[in-house]
Amino acid sequence: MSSRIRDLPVVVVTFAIIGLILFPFFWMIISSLKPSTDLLTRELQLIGRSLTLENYRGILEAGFFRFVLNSVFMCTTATIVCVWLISSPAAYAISRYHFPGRNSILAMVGFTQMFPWVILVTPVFMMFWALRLVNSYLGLIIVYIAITVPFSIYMLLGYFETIPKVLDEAAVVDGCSPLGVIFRVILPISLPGLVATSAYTFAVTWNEFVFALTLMTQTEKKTVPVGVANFLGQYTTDWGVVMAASVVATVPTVIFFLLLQRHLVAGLAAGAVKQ
Amino acid sequence: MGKSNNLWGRLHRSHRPRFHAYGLILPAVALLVFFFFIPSLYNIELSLHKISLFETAKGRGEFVGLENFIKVTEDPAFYNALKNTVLWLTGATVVFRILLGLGLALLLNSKALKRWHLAGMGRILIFVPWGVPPVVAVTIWKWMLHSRYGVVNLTLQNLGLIRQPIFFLTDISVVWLSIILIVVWRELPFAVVSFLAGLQSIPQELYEVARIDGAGWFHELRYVTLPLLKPIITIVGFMITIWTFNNFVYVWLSTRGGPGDFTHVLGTNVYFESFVNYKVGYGATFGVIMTVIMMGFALVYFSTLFKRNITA
Amino acid sequence: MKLMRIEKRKLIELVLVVGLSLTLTLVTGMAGFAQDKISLIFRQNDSPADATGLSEAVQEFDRKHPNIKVQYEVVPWSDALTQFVREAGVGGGPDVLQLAFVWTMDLAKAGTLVKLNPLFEKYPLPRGIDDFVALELGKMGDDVYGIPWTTDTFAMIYRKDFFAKAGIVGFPDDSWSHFKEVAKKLTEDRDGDGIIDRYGFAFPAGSGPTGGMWFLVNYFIWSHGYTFMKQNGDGTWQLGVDAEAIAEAMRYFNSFFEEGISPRSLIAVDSWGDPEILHGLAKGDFAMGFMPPQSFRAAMDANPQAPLASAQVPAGRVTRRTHLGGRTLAINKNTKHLKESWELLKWMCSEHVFETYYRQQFSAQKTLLEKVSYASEYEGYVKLIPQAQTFYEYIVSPVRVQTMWSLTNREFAAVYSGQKSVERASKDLLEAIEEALQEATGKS
Repeated sequence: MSSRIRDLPVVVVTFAIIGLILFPFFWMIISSLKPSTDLLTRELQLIGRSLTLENYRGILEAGFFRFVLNSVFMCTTATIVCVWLISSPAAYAISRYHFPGRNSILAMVGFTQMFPWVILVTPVFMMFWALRLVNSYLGLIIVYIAITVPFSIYMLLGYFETIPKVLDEAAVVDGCSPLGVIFRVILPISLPGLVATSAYTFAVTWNEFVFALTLMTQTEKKTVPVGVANFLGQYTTDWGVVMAASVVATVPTVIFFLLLQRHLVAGLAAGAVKQ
Repeated sequence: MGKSNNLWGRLHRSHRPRFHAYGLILPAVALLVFFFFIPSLYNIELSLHKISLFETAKGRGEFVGLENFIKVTEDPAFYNALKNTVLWLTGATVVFRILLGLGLALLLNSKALKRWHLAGMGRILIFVPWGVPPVVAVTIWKWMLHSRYGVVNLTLQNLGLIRQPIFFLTDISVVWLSIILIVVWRELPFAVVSFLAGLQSIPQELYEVARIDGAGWFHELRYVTLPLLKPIITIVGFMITIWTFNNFVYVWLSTRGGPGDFTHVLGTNVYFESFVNYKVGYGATFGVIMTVIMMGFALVYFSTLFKRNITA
Repeated sequence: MKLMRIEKRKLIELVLVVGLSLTLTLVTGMAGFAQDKISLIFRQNDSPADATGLSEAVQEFDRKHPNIKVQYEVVPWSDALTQFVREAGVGGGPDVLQLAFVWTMDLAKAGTLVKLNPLFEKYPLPRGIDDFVALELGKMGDDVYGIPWTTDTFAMIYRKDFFAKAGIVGFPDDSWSHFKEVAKKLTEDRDGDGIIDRYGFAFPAGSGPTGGMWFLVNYFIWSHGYTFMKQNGDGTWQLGVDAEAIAEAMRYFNSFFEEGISPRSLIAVDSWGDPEILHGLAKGDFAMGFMPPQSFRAAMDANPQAPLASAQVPAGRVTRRTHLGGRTLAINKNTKHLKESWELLKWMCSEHVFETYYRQQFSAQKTLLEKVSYASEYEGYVKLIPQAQTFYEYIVSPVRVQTMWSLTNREFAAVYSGQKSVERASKDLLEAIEEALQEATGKS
């Protein structure tokens, strides 16, 4: 018991910091529940005098729910395809095989992180137009996969390196094909690593703005961050509505993280050893 | 698992692992070439032309060779933006993220929290800012830092700490601090979680040995924790450096590069030249130069670290 | 082996999810092909709050034309131009689109818009093409590329109650110095705690490239007989303003911050419709403001009890001028349905649409403008619109309006924030515009 009391300062300090870090998030939620006219006040009030769901009705009427569905659908699909079908085999190959060009491929993966993405937008739009991938869910999913593949490969590589090679050799002796080894042996025991990578991928795609803006001009295909930006008007901006949209834009990823939290840290932990 | 009759199985038995490797990696490589390399070639081509945004609708403009690059080196705005990018947007925020990230990771990994059964909760909560889209993060912070209606100023004034409000986003003596605050807040969880992961992979026996040797908390940190965390600090430091260097969203959304051009960074310059001044070729030149700078940085960074590892 | 089975189930689940997702993608993608109606895209750039009624107007058009289906698209102003240029370059884009006045000619020159003369000659507009104000902005020679759709100007906004309480009769629109004097008088620290409770004047002073400072600066220098771009008799262009005149404007507006008449928080405000300005006026944190009628209406909606009114922009030494701004509608060169697009464009400009749906905007047609009965609050706008002039001379000048706009906002904000002295900023601004002029005319 005495040690628990001696721990108290550490606990208090930690949660004080966490409280500070979380404050903007709470403030956003509180602001979204205030009528717009109450937002600009010089009185310091934690909870407004009158709480309202009016702002949320506003975003529903503007079709924001559709944007949430679009984002969930495209981000989930992109995450699954990116992590399981594209990055895992690539990371496995880099981890297990020594082949000519291996280092160039690693360098190339690193190179992709060195662009300011805004310069890719116009050429990507031109190519996607030629391929009929503008205003198409498939098109934006491909973008989302492409922008998340490099870092996913890197994360999974770190993870796969920690898995003893004996395991896949045993499977090969059993007559398993490389894909069989990946899907039946490596991926199942890499679940924490996959979850951590998926969380990263989901967060990046959920927050992506420029490509979604450019490639999706039809209202019914827009994503959440673009939907939030649409509320910032030229003649007037309704801050209550913007705050409500911000809450809706944030909560799904936060829930997603919370659900996966246990795996997340464990996954990164294992991956960290060999880096 | 008798799947030896399919194509993969047969190829594998014929000992052609190279073929397998290429096959496995092909989808990823094809995607990266398609998405990053072809567009970057287009961009390099643009950087060699004098072309306005309107001209891109029907052609390539006028070929001017390296004229754009020469102009950049003579452009004071470039040096201003370069300084801001290196010193403030990237340098300061990376240092803060690593220091704060380490501190928080150590706290969250401490035995004290575990004994109180609060470690899990702490780790969950630390993730929250990472779930906030940058456009939302900037919006909420601008709101909180507002000089007259913002909760930060009102709190400080009510506590009697300041009399006149602080103009966080318009006063040139604090505007960079405000941007740094926003960037660090939004991007801190990545560092914390990575370091936390690194801490968990340190074998407990090492600490026990250290304790038998009579090492205190600081010695443990100095001689066990930090050396073992070094690889992950290195790699996290590198990743957040290149990501932040290329970022234009935080600055653009919070100050538009202002007041004046005080907070312009290279990323906002690309955007500004291409889409505000309509000089697409010139904007592309900034983009190419940024990529070159980052490649140079990567080369120096890793070769220095590699050398140190050998001599160590 | 039990473990293996579980993993196999996971794998099957995975394949199912991916498969389903892809099918869904394909199905939603195919849905568009399932109709044989003519499909048109109408694009506008305002936020939902600024464009209420517009999508209903499109729906009524659909009902009246059973063979046409119009898709209503929104691309925010900040990205609309870039997006359209991208699309035009590859052969895509909307059929009918909304443009800022200042973009129309550049886009026409780039060959991205349809010449409208044959259309309005064959399918005439109800009151003819000459009923439109500011038509010259979308014209090259006699060729018309854009039809002015909506129009506005900026005016001064004030609180009648504060004026009455301070004993001020009539709006100080006779001179800029009188205006400032009154603004100072209206600034108030009610409880004497050293923190100002009501500021005299609110204006967007941000350094963003599309901020509202640009308009205020122009009004000021115009009223003193200057202009940024001036054409000489021989057709060449030159700057119509010198460093001293710019410095005078900088000193004038900066004094509002230095003397505490305007809060420094405004240096971060780009938009004339920023909630800080609108709600500040509605709640009484500001006594005066500067904005177009659409924002004025939003301010009045924020607090219907606030006695707000509009007034003219102060006069200077020479003439009294404000700018006539607005948006055009144009047809994309890539359209496959020229006649139907024109039909839609005509519909969007019709009296019916402005009366029934698009009520927060002002039509750019003289006869419709005359018909509007303005509430007394709009007096300032009603007086200013007949005197307002478009940015025509800037638009036809070699320097792009957007370049002058962003440079002006940037240098003025540099002064407000203390980054530069007035002398340095005014010199930098003129040199940058001069340089842009030389670059455009090829004398470098």
